[in-house]
Amino acid sequence: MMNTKYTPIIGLEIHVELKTQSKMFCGCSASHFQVEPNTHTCPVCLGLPGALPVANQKAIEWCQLIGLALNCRLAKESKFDRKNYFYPDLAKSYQISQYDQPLCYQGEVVLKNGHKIGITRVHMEEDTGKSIHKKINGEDQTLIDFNRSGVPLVEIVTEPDFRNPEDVDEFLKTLRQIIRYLDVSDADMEKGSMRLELNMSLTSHPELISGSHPQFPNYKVEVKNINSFKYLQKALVYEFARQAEILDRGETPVQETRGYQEDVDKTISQRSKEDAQDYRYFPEPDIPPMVFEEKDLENLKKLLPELPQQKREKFTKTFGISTETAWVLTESKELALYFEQAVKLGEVLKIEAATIANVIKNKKYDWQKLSPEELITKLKQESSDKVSDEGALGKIIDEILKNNPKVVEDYKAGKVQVLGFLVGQVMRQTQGKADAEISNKVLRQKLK
Amino acid sequence: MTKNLTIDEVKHIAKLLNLNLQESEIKKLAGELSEAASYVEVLQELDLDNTTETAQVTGLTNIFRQDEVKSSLSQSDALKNAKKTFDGYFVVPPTIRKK
Repeated sequence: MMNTKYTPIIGLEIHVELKTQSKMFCGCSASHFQVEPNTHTCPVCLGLPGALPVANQKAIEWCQLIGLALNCRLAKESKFDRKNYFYPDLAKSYQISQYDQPLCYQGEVVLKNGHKIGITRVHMEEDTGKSIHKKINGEDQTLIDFNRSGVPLVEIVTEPDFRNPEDVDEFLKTLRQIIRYLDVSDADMEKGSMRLELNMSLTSHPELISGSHPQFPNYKVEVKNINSFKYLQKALVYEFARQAEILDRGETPVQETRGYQEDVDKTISQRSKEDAQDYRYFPEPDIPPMVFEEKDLENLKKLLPELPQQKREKFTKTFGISTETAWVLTESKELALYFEQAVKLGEVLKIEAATIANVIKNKKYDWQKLSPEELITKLKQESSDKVSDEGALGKIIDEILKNNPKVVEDYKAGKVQVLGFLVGQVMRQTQGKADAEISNKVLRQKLK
Repeated sequence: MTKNLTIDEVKHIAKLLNLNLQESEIKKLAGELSEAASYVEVLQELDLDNTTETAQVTGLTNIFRQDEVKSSLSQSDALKNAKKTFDGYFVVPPTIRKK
């Protein structure tokens, strides 16, 4: 897929729409999905002259929580800026965003393989209106719905720290999980509440980009319009091949913005350097700056819920379950909470956390169809049916070992994986009622 | 007197403002804009050595609102001043041409 001659250098920019009740700078409802067009607007979000934007405190707090969850530093002083550009879905001809004083900066996410992904910044801004392109009476038209205009949007920018598509995928899934644990956004790509952009360049000298004074290639290609994690992977593969081909010819890819087109699985040039955007950022004069005291920021940390990483640590340390199982159990906040509740109930009935973890992980029972109480009741029933008496199991095991001398020989010769077969035999003899853990223990003892 | 704006600079400004200018207008505007800019230059005469830069004059900080929904305009009020509407939408010249 990706050749080894070049190393990709990839950075991401992710937009997340917050699920506050009201918009970022006015009291209009922030809900805009499948809503009658232009029914959630007011002078502020329609960009009418004289309207005064006032920032939504909850949105700012949520943006800071995202920053904290991504191990960012929080700014003591922050402000909004105007980003000027002309487009019909941008009512004011500028977007209120943040330029040189983002709410959060210098964060980091560590991936499973230990790779560290730096977070450049996490800042607060507002969404634009929505354009719909349509033919009306045979004429091309663009229709605008301003319900989305002014909805709180958080922008997360990473350092160009990715060196392969797998890390990009894991990072995005981790980010989405964290945001959902925080319960500040649906982070749903399909509904557009999470949007991705990437930038990429290739180098044939990876040694130049590590170390304290990295030398990056002299170009960078941005790719927009990526509507799913799957398409992001495809866009990365396509872009890698495209840039590699240009470099192979001894040329340099043009620094530009490209759009991914899923129907043809290609990226297409949208805007080249010649008409690079000139946003003329300047401080938003209508919104006073924000100042946060140390104690405000400390209080904010108390609002952070337990995040996937902390839950995994707790599960492995206090419940003694494997890291792999812990990852499965923390996939969603709902599942993690379900497991915790089941463990609590299980304690009373002496059902081990590890047992509960395994039945959920192995999908023996569908946790979404059983309440934690029902699950525990079923497990209790099972354990009382179980043959867990070492003496009784010992007899059955003696019999099995006698009938399988070849397997015993293999085991003693170092083929320890035959143990699985033997446990299977015990299960067969007991119609699945043998306690697997105890059978395992007795088998090992007898095979010594 | 500030330097005169070049034709390319005027073209760039026009593009940022989404203005479609004729060559003759660009020439004329290059002169006029340069003049306007030089007028603002009188500000350079002020002694600002002891003045700190600011983008804020109110002295206020942390002006927020709670996350509460207030009533919005009705659809017909929102669209009232639009040149062209369709089915509850604002209509603008096409930004993408459908095949």
